[in-house]
Amino acid sequence: MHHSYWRLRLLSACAALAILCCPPCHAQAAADGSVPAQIVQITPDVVSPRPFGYVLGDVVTQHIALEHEGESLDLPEMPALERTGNWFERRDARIEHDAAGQRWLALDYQVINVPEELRAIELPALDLATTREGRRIVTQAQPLTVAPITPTVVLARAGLEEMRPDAPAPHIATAPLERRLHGALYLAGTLIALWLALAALRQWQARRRLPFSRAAIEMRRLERGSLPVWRRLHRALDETAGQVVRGHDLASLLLHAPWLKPMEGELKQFFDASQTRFFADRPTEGVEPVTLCSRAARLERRALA
Amino acid sequence: MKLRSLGSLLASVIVICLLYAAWEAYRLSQARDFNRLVDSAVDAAATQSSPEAEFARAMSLAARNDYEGAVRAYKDLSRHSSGALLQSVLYNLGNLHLREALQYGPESIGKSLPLAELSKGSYRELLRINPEHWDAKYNLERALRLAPEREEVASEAPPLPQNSERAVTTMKAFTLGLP
Repeated sequence: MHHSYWRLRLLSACAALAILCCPPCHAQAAADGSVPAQIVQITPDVVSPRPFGYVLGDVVTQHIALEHEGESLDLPEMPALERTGNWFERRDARIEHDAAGQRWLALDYQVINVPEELRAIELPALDLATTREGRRIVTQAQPLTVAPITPTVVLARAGLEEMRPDAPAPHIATAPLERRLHGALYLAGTLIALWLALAALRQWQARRRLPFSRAAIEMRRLERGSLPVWRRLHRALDETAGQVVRGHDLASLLLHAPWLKPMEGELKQFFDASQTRFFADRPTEGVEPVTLCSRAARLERRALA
Repeated sequence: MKLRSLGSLLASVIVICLLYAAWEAYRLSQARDFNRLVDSAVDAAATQSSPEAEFARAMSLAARNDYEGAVRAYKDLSRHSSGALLQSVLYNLGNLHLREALQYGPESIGKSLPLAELSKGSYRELLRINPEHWDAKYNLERALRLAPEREEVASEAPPLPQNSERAVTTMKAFTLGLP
C-alpha cells in the first residue's frame, strides 16, 4: 500500500512541474517573434445563385467580388476543381469582369448528389488566401434547396420506369455531306458556265482576229466563185504565212502554220487551180475557195483560239 | 493566249470540283445506306466501319448480354469520339453498368455497389459535358438510390453493405479491450 501512495505522489509532482513549465515556453516563443502575424478575414460581396429549385446535375454559379473597401484582392491560385463535400463538385473557377470593370471570382458548382426528399443543402463556405499576407477571403455557406426528380418507388408507368432507356444508335449526319455535295456541284456548274462564256468570248475574238476566220465572214458577202473570193482566200493565206505565198512556197506556209497540214493536198490543188483561174482565165472544177476557207478557219480556231 | 490559259485553268478546277462532288456523293450514299441499316437492324449496321457503326456494335453486344464486350466497345469508342456521339456513349455505358447493378439489386450489394459506382461515374462525366441531359440525371438518381452517398458516408468511411454487422459488440474478431 505504501508503494502505491509513493507512485501517486510522484505522478502528481511531475504533472505540477509540467504545468509550471508551460507558460515560460510560450512567453519565450512570443519574444522570438515566431508567432504568426494576425490574420485578417475579409468578407467581400457575394452574388449568390437562386437559393431554390435545383435538381441533380444543375450547375450553380457563385460570384465573389475581388475588391473590398476599395482594395483589390488577388488570389495566388484558383480554388481547386474538386468535389466539395457530399453534394457539390466545383467544376470551374475563373475571373470575370462586369460592365463597371469590377473583377469577380466566378465559381461553378454542379449538384452531383441528391437527397431522398426536398432539402436545403449548403453551397460550401470558402476560406481563400490572397496575395497579401495575412488577408484571407472568407465566405459563408449558402443554403440551396435540392429535390429529387424520381420517385422513391418506381411507378413503372410510361417514361417513369426503373431507368431511362439507352440512347439509340446514332445516324450518320447526312446534312453536312449534302451541303458539301451541293456546294461542289454549284461551284462546278458556275465554273462550267464561266468556261462556256470564256470559250464563246475566245471564238468571238478569234473570228475577228484570225485571217481565215475573218476571210470566211467576208466571203459570205461575196458572190460564190467570183474572183474577189479567190483573192480573199489568197490574202488569208498570205496573212497566215506573213508573206506572199505561191504554190511553190506551200512548204514554208505549212512550216509557219502546221495546223494547216491536214489540208496540204487541198491547198496545193487550190494554188494549181488559182493559176488556171487567174492566168488562163478559165473556170476551175473541184476547188471551192469558200469551203476551203471555212475548213481552214475551223482548223485555225482549233489551233489558235 | 491568256484567255486560253484561263480556260485551261478553269477546266482543271471544274474537273477537281466534279471529282470532289463525286467523292461526297459516294460518302453520302454510304451514310444513307448505314442509316437505313440502323433503322432496320442494329446488328447489320455493326458490320460497317465508322464511329457510329462501332456504337451499333457495342449496342448489339449489350443486347446479347455480353456485358464485358459491350463495356470494352463503349470505352474504346469514348476515347476517340466527341460531341453528341460521346454523350450517347457515356450515357449508354452508364446504363450498361446500372442495368447490371440492378440485376443484382440491393440484396447482393457487394456485387451491385461497384457497378452502381461505375454507372455514377459515367453519368457524372456526361453531366459535366451536358448538364441538361435529363435521361442521365434520371438514371444517376436511380443509381444514387441504389448506392446512396449520405453525408456521414461521404465524410467518413465507405458504405457498409446492407444487413452487415454494424454494432462492434457483435462483430467477429473485435473486443472491447477485455483480456
